[in-house]
Amino acid sequence: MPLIYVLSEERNVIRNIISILEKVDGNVLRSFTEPDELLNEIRTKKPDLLFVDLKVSKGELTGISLLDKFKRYNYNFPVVVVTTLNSIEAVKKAFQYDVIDYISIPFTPDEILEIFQKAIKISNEPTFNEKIKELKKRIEFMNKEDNKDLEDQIKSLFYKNPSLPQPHYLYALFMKNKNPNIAIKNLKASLALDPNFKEAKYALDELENNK
Amino acid sequence: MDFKIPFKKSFYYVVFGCGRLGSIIANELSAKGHSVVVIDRDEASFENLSFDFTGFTLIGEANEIEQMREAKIDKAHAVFVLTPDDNTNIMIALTVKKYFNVNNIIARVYNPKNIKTFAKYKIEIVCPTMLASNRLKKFISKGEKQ
Repeated sequence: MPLIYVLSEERNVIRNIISILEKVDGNVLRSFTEPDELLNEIRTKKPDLLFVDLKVSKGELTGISLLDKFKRYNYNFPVVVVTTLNSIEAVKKAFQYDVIDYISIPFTPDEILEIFQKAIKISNEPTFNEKIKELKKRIEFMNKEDNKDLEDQIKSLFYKNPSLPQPHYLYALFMKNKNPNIAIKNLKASLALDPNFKEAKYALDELENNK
Repeated sequence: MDFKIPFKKSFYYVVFGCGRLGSIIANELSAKGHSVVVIDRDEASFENLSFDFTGFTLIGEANEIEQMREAKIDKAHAVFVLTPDDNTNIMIALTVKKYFNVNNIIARVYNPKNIKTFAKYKIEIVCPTMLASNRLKKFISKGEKQ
């Protein structure tokens, strides 16, 4: 049952989105007018899709500052921002926080349904941490000859998340038997991005001791 | 997660003019669960909308193409042209038809003499004068038969 949250101070934005999506079997919808209330709810239950009206503003919390919080807390549910046509700058800024799409007011039922389908598809994809776990397992059991696909998948994580330490760590695990020097280089890169990354530290110590 | 096509589909409507008739139509469409946008140049006219109206309102000159674009006219399932002026209504209806390729347009015509102009461009109309006169004519004939 997809759980959908809508945050807006505008009654018509909330009621339009809800009336369109409640007609889809199984959807559970919740609306919020206060950002604090939404944050509290998210701490207990994360949605499959969240609509955030960029016009929302309460004290220090604005639509954009909420997106910033989601990114810092590593929340990875799909977020769609709701905006007016003349807020292009705000939309551009929102995309820096990995929102999956935006919708301008007034919106049509078809636009909302299209975004919903896209979000549900994303929701069903493994999260970053799940992907890391899966690739780590595959590296443990990889055969010596055919692992081109595995290498490609690790590399694609680099391109998507260049500032995160995990892809470097995975590549180091992948390369440690083939080319320990490249593995060491990647473990150092991983630790440069996160000096407290314990697994990378142990792997680096192990490789350097075996040198 | 399974995604099923909605059992009851919502449509998208645009209403030009938020006077007595425009607001009744907009309220009705909204009450039926459709998405509605009402355009009027007079912000005060939106007070005609009911408290339960959940559509969107746009203030502006109804015949401006930019305004129509903002209202996403091209995505409308139907457009109601209900301003109090026949000339404005024909202009809006033609612009919507020609530039935004919307085929479901219904316009109000005040003066029955203008009906032919709308018919020439194949725009569906509703003429309150004709509706009232036809009803009254029926009433007269009924009286004559008695």
